[in-house]
Amino acid sequence: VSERAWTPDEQLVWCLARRVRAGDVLVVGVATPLAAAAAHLARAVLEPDVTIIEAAAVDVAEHDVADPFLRPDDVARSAVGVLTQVEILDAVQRGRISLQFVSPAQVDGRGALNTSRVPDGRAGSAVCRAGSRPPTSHSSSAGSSPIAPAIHRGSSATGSTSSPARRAASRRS
Amino acid sequence: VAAGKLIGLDEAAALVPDGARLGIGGVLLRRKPIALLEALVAAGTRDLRVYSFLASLDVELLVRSGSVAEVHAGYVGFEQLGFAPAYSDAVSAGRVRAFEYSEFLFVAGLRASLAGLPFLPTRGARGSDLVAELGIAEVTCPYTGDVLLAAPALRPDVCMLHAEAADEHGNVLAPTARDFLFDADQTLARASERVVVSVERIVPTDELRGRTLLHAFEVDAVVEAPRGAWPTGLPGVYGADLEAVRARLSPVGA
Repeated sequence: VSERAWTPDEQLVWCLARRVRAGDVLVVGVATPLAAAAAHLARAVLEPDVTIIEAAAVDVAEHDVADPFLRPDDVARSAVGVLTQVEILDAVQRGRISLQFVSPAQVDGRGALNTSRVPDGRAGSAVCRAGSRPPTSHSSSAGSSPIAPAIHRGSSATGSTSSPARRAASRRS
Repeated sequence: VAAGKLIGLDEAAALVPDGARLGIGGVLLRRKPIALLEALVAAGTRDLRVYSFLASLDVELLVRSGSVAEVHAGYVGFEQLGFAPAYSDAVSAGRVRAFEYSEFLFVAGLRASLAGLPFLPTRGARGSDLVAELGIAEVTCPYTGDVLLAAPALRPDVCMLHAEAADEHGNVLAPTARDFLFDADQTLARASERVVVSVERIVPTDELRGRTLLHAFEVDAVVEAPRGAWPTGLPGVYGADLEAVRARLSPVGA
């Protein structure tokens, strides 16, 4: 086996995939290709006993991680079923989801995150920027995603700077 | 059943007064009622307080035209195309107030409305700064002592949706395939005071019998607007036109 330099994206996908345990019910969202890659990699080579719920679609077939951007309905059609908006959120809240890969705009060293809105950096300003502008170099839909996933076990808390204590909720046993 | 719910785009816009709480259906780049929203812009509607679960071009185009005072949403952006330039600028400049929700808080608020309740207890967003920012109060369970969040009912004055078909009475065809959050419009509509639906085509009732998303008694007005979600997509009918969406995201002032 020849040595090769793994890209940061590849290392991130592998690190995420290694968090999957037997029996996990794993949620990944929309527009999170690295998280989706990690989920499918884990199921394919590490832990077949995992239920992948991707954009509320349950047990989706392995697919190119670009497909949800280009052919989202195809991904949903490959699923055994698709949960409703209420069903997926309730499943998270009652603890039925054991693992979630989330993709915040920002994350700090304690795991607190901002999903899309980030502070605008103005001293004393309570107003936060509503996300950042799309970088000009990102004018194509192809290419690398600005979104990097993080790991989230236990109950979900999206939104600004969720407390680490809440997010460290134990996994369902 | 009362007939005569078919109206035009301009009449639909007239149902939304300045300052109204406007619920907008669709999720991300799907099913956004773009034709209806453009009618609001053409009518010069101002100071809207917009409620959109996962917003994209809906919020961006209303903000760009200066129609919006507040945005209540779980996300405003364009996935792989980036964030919303006009919205970002307007929030930073203080022209639009942004109220960011967790998905749990937003849906709990809608579900409180569905059940006719003033609030719904939820765990969603506990520990988040959003709780203080939105002024969400806590409530203690009288049985277990658990401290929960009391998500206040979200009740838009009017909501606007786009679907594939409806009859003249206001029965609306449900999505034929279960795509991502295919049911979100149903929840939003039932949480709203009035419901305006644009559709690709008007059909006889028999064509949607047993396949309804919403029923005539739940819908106030129907507008025939072919390709009314374009350039966002209508799953099963047409996909999002990403080039056309991108063309609408030029930096403000450019």
